[in-house]
Amino acid sequence: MKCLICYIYAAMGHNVTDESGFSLLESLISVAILAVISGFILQMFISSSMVNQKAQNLDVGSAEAISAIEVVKQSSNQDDIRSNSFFEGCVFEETEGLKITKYYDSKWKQVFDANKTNAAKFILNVKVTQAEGFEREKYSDIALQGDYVVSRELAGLNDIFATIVEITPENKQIELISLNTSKYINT
Amino acid sequence: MKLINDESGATSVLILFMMITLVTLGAYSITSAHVNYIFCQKAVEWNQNYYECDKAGERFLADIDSALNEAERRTALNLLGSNNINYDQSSQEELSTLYLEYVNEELGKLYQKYHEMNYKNNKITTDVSIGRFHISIEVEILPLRYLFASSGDASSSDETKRYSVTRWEQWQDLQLESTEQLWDGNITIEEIE
Repeated sequence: MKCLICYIYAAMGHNVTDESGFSLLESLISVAILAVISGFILQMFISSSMVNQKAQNLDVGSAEAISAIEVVKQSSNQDDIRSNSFFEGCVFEETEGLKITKYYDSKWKQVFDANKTNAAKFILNVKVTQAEGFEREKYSDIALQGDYVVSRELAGLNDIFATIVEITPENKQIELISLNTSKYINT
Repeated sequence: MKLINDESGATSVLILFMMITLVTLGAYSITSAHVNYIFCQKAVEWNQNYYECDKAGERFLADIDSALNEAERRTALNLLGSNNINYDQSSQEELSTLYLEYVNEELGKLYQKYHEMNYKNNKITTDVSIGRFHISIEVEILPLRYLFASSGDASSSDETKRYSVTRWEQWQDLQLESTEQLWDGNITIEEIE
């Protein structure tokens, strides 16, 4: 077996004689060493890919949570939230405020079919509740009509929570991102 | 002509080089992935702090609106108590003055909660800090919303807001790792010479 250097020297016009070779044992040992080192290197690239995937999940999850919060902040009532295209195909619940659930697969594509939510890898939970200590009566609008003071409940402070949850293969839920803000609606 | 009898294992050297290159690339790849992950975590943390600050700002607005609402209510009750049916121009001015007095009183109750709050020329300013993140807000108090007709019938103005936000700035403190002094942009004559 001629080595690369021998070929180079031969190409340069030198007379090269290389009759040496490898025995079976040498070949086996070298293959074994190569396999071990290659496995180690492969492991490095796999780990790197997994960490990159985790970073991407954080990035996309964060963007989704921000979008959800901004949509809720731009909306002046529940109908506005429900009719927004961002929450299309989501599950809405009205228990202690408004709860919205959006399912995603591993590629961050929305899972629309409710029967396929078991295949979901990520869940976006949005919760809109009335802020404690900021009851609506406190901000009632006041108008005078004749000799009477008329109050109308118009404004209120809402707390908005947006969380991204990852579902592990063991069916455990890990919270990746949690954003929390408030919106004062004065209309 | 030079004769080369190569039995020194150049192939092994090449394989070794290849392995070193691959290990280096692998190490670089894993390091960059890790750094990428740290950056993403920092971005998430930044977003969390940003919204915490935003929340503090919204709560401040709610508190201001509550104070203005109470001032309005007290003004309205005062008006009803006075039995003044003819609301002419002078009454409106008196009412506005009374409203601003009540506003001053009601805002006084908020100073304990917002130490940085300042009220001057119908403008309320405050700075709220959450860690390294800060929000600076300026709110202008709008005139009293009631329009009083000379007939004595009172009606609410079309304007639904008691205040208007004139400034909403968020920023964060920079953490400089180096203690080296930065160039201030000035060049002295001695340096040029």
